[in-house]
Formats: sequence, C-alpha cells, structure tokens
Amino acid sequence: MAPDITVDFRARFDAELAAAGLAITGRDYDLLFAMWQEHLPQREALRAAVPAPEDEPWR
Amino acid sequence: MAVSASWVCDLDLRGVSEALAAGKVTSVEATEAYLDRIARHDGVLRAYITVMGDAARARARAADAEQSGGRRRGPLHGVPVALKDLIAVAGVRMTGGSEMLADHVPARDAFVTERLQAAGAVILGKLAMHEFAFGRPAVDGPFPTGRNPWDIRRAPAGSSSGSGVAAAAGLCAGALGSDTGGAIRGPAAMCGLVGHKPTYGLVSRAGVLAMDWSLDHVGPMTRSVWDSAVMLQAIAGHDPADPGSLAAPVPDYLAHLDDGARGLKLGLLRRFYVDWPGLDAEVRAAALDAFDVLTREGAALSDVDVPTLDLAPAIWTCFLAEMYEYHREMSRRAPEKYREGTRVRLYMGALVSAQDFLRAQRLRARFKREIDALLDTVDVLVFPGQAGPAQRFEDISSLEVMAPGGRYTSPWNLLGLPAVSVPAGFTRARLPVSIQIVGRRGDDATVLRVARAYERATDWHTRRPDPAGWRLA
Repeated sequence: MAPDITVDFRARFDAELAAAGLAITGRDYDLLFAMWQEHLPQREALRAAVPAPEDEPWR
Repeated sequence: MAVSASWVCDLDLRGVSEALAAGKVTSVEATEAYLDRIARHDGVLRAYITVMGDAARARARAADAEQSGGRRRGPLHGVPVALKDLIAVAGVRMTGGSEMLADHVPARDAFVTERLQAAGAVILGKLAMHEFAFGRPAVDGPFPTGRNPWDIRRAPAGSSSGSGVAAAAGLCAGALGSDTGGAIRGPAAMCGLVGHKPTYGLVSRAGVLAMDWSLDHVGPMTRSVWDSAVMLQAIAGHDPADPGSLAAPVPDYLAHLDDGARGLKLGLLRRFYVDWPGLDAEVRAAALDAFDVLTREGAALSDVDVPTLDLAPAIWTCFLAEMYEYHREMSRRAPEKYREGTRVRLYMGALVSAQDFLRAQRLRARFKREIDALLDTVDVLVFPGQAGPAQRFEDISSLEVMAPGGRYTSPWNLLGLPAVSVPAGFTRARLPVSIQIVGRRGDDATVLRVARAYERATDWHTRRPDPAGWRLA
C-alpha cells in the first residue's frame, strides 16, 4: 500500500512546529500548513544546492 | 471651495521646489493645497494613517519666514512630503500599520526625519503600509493599506503602499518608503513612480521599525528621477546609531544625473527575468522597448546571467527568521493583535532552521561573488521591473510566503545593491509598468543617471491618474 503522503507531511510539519516552540491550532495551523507545503519545493532546492567549501557565510 | 494653489499637486517635486523658489507659491499655500486634496480624496484612497495638519502648517510658516528672510535651505525647502508609518516622527503616533502599535508614540525623530526637516521639508503625515512591512493588502480594519489611484479596485502593492498611493495621487510631493524585499520598488512600479532602494547602509535605519535588520533599506518614492535624487541627497549619510551605516562620503547625486547613457554598458538579465513564463506579456514588451530606448540613447546592451539568481528567492525566504526574531515576544504576548496573514507569515520565520539559515548565508555570499564579478564587466543590470501590473484585491493570494513577482526585487536586498524602479509605460488597461536598474554597491549615482537617461527620452513620468476614478461604487 502506498504511503499516505499527507500524513507524512503533517508529521513533518508538526515536528517542525514543536521544534520551533509554536503551539498553534485552528485556522492559523491550517493556513501555516498550506503555506509550508507550498514553500517546500523552494526549501528543498536550497538544501540541494551544495555550496563550495570556500563559500563562507555572508559577513 | 477650491484651494488657490491646487495646481501644485499635479507637479513633481522639482516643479513644487522651483515654484517655491521663484515665489510663485508659498509653502503655506502648497501645504494647504495638499491637505485639501487629502481631505477630498483620501477617504477613498486611504494613503494616510495620520495627517499632521497643524504641525505641517507650522513648518510651512517657518519655511516661508526663512525664505522671506533670505534663507532657503535647499531644493526641499518648504516642500510637503510624507513618510511611511514606520519612520518615527517625535510626538506623532507610529503604528507600523498594526493594531499592536495603535497607540505607540515615539519620543524621537528617525534620522531620516531629522534630515528632511533640516532640509526644510514639511511633513504632511504618516502613510499607510502593509502591517509591519510584511502583511497583506487590506481594504478594511483599523489600518487599510490603500487603493491604487490608477484603478481603485486594485492594490498599489506594498509594503510601502500608502507612499505609492500618496506620491502618485498628488497627496504629497514625494514620499519615503522602506524596502526589504521590494517594498519601495513594488508600489513604485504599480503606481507609476520612481522608487529607489539605496545601497545598504547609505541611509540610516535609526528610528525606523525593522522588518529584517540585514535587508531593510529606506528610500524615496517620487514622480521623477530628479525628485528621488534630491530626497536621497537629503537623507543619505553616516549615522553611528545605525550599526549598518556606511562611513563613506556621500557623493553629489545631481552632479552627473543628466550625463546620459552614452558609453554605459547595460547587462540584461534575460533568462531569469524576461524569459520567465510568469512575466506578463505587456510588461515584457514595454521593458524590451525601454531597453531599445536606452541603446538608442547610446548605451550598450548585452545579455548576462548568473546561476545562483535562481536560488535568490529561496535564500531571501530564510530571512523571515530575522523577522520572527524581531516579533517573537510581541507575537507570543498578543498574537490576536496581528492580522491573520501577517501572523501566519511570521510563523513561517519561526520554521527556518539554523542549518537552512546558514546554508542561505553561504549561498548569499556565492551570489554576491557572482554578481560582483558581473558588475566588473557592465555598469548596471537591467530587467523588467515587475511580473505583472497591479492586481485586483480579490485576486491576491493570502497563502504566499512571497508573491512570485518577488523574484524581481528580493535578490537585490540580499546584496544591498542600489536598485531603482522607473516608469516604462502602461498596459492597455492603463496600468503602470516599469523597468528596474541595479548598480554596483555605493554607485547609486550611476543607477539614477541611467534612470534619468531613460526618463528624459520618454514621457511616462508626466502622466497622472484621473481623480474622477477615485469614487467607490
């Protein structure tokens, strides 16, 4: 049986909320989840872009 | 009864300045003209949060008395301007467009306020904005964000929405906004204005509510390039109270403003900006026409590109973490005082991990290296100024972390490079379109010079929205 992707996303999202110390419910939770999902491809692209060793953080 | 000097409201800032200098109008007459126009039209346009009528009149009287005594402080002497409501004016409430700060009254002027007043400008009031510079457009609530004077069913973009509305509708001679991801250039583009985001650190942020310490810039929004250059001249300069303030001397932004584009090399970021499928066809056509104008004026145009530009919007989004940090205590104490859209976007900042933020900072440094190398080969970068014309309120999504059009503006905040939006025409629906010009760090003068060269060869900046359209059904 194929994994339930929505459940997986929810679990990831809930874990991130917990790590950030955000205790939100109701409409804020739903809107934030939708925004977080919509933003995932950008975040994955950022994580996939491996900097060169000489790319030090901006100062 | 019409105010006798109502004609000044159709002028650009230079026109008002010259009329004042020539004695064709007094500062009191000009101030009354703007206040009258605000009273007649701002009930619909909603550009202002606070109108400083009495204070403005007092400043105008003082400016006139000085001029009568033989002293003019400069081109801004007696000129009525207005400030985004996150720029402090001592004793005047500063809301940040939020119920959270509805009763907040700063005790001190912001640096830029002091500078404008020292230049003799008259401050008409505090202008509407998206909540805390990161909220969404709103037509209701305690602090609506303003209606586009070219079509009041449409938003003026933000977050310096009121600055765009006021400057375009002649409710002030010029305005200051702030820009963290496009908040000067976006409303300038949508409202047919010149909007200049200066080099980071050129203009002090002291006394200005922060959105992102690393990316915030304060700058002018005006009807013409000269106007922006004059306002920039007044507000630029080192301020020890701003940790990011540059110590370099400020050049004369008017000295070479009319030198033209001949001999300058323009780099067109075609792949990322022109060829992007999301770009509106009319904006694309107008922008390409504009680049042709610049080549006819003697500039050399070539296509350029850098690979990390594709990651710039994602890098920018990581800086929501700074925004959340700024609001962390306030948002935990009274979350209900934020509008829903602002609050949820704040929470996105809380979800940026330390690893993602560090990755973003490394890629930001790489992006800087690529663009700096590019700007060693060309004098400025050029591209369309916006993804599309002003949107109807009902078409604006509440779910986006950054609107797709943010790709046109946000990368240049990451690098702190000077960037100006210049009017470049109108759509068939008579909505403004623009081009954007980005220059080397510290070289605001060349950016303004190229903008002026284009402006001089066109007449878009002379068009005005029709007040007959400023009526709600």
